[in-house]
Amino acid sequence: MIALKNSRSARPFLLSFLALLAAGLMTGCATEVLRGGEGTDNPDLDADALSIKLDREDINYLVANYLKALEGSRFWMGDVQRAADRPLMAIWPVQNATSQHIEDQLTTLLSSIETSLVNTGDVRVVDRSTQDALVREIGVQQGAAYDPSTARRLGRQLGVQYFVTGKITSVDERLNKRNRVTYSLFLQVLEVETGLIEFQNEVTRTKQVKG
Amino acid sequence: MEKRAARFGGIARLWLRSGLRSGLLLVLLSGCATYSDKLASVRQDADRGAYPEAIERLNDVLDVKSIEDSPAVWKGEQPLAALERGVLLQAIGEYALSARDFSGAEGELEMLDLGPDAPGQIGKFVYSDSSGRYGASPTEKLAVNALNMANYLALADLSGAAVEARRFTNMRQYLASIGLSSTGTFGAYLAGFAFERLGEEDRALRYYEEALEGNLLRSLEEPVARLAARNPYRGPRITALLQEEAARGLNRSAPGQSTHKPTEILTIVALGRVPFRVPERIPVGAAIGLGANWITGNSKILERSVLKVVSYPELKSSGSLARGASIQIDGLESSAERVSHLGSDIRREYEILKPRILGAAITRLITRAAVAEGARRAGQEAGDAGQIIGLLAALAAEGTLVALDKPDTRSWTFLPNEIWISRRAVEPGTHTLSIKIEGVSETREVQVDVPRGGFAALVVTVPR
Repeated sequence: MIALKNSRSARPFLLSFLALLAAGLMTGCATEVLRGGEGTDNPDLDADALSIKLDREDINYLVANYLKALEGSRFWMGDVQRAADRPLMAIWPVQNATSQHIEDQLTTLLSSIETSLVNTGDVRVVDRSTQDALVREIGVQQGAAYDPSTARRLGRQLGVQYFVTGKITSVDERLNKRNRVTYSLFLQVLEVETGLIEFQNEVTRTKQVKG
Repeated sequence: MEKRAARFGGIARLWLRSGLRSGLLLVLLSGCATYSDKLASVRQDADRGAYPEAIERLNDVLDVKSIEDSPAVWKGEQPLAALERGVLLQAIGEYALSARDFSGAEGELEMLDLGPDAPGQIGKFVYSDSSGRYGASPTEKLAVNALNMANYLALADLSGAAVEARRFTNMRQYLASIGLSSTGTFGAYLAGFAFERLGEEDRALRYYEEALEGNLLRSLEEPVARLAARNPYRGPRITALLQEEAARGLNRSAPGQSTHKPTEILTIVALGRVPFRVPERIPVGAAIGLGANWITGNSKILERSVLKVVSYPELKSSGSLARGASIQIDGLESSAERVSHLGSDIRREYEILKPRILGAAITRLITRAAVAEGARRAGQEAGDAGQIIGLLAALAAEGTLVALDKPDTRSWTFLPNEIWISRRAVEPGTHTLSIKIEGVSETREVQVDVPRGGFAALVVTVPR
């Protein structure tokens, strides 16, 4: 307060203090909330990548590309579409073989595959909650890879002809402050009784973060 | 000329007064405690085993209401506080929440470059830049993944443990690519265990080879021999271990042995706390001697400086109380062995850094002294009155700037000092474990169910 008594002497003090105060205020920022997606002002809100984890855009891309290849395959156009009865399919959990905790994203991915398969109208698909209960009942450990003998046992109980299974892997690269992850989704359609691979495909997606 | 000098003296006096006041205000505003000061009460709570109270204090640092919450946007010391809380949550058996804290914090940590060409970064490391991200050392970085593997194993989530194992490997490879050696015995051991349980035996063997780099681990003899009977991979340490097995007349690695997975209990005991950083002062002369190779600028200028000491972050022993563990399963002793001594790893890393820390501290002091020297010279040029004002301005400049220098005492203070592991094959069913911690009067009794061919992992963390 003493400094404020004399305006000349107060000026440098005030200037230095205000500069500090302004610097402090400039670092603060207001919260911004947006609504995005179809029918909103921000239809492309989820188009930007916010992390190196899989997001909805990546999942849509991986599933769409896999389904496109599956529907164009000889197996689908022959064994599936020409079958007398629509074959019954089940989806075995996709193994997370990446360096990211993407269990929630894998649940979304499985739901997307299930929805897409059902909507082809060419196959019947076992409800995953029924299947999950059975998987727990026969004691399959969480995160376990596809095991043919367990799958056969489960397949018989469910009455399914085909299992869709696979894994998602990642290749991680890091240089200075850049971190890049390439995800590869391998999916197979396996004939339950014989264990033969009827169809197999791989789709990749790369994410990178800097800083 | 006299008029000009008087005018100069007046202006200089005015700016000096203002500068002193602003400086004083700055000192008062920035007079907050260092990180190690802030955590003193958290450490005290933990020392008396009051983990919930310690967690409450960390919730305040994280600016959250409960253990269910994490910061929406990470700032300042919060990632480090989340690592501290992660260890304490593990100590109270909240493994899922602990895993969330470790994963959340991991992405917010910088990597502290211990390489010889990183003097700028070391400079930042010496003094607190409160808004700066924390630069974790290689040991700390690897320990995040290793401790998180323990969380996922305790939750019997092999997929989650495998994710942490891959992250651990990626970090190790990155460290190797920039020429940094790192010990990761504990992480490699748990990664091997996770992949063994997932049926990826070749990969498990490779991790066990890494784990054997640190010590000869007796608890790995049986698993390595069993896996070697079915897999061709042989590293130098596995080869040595198998030769020793053969010399003792054991034949566990011969082809055609049983392919069954044993039913077993894995007990992981994390004890004590690693050394932590505290602000320390040493005479400038001694600091110049220790950090001579890392000083930039002419240290002769410091001869005219009024400041004769330098502040820097020094490691201090945490005085861990917990020093060992004895484990009983259904009343029978189960031998435990120490697989990692993280406290020693942290100290080893610090000893590499110390000359560079002191070098950076002296370099900073030289810059301060140069500012003061400028003020002193300006005063001398202004004449008699100016000389006194110049001297005072020099004192004010040096004093204020040095007072603002707070040694950066941030470090992961609750990182366990030692990791012990016990592994024992059991019959399927329910078992009672009793873990007695040496050095503190703490015994934990736990019941676990182990399925046939499966495992149960018990994680006992005692951060005191």
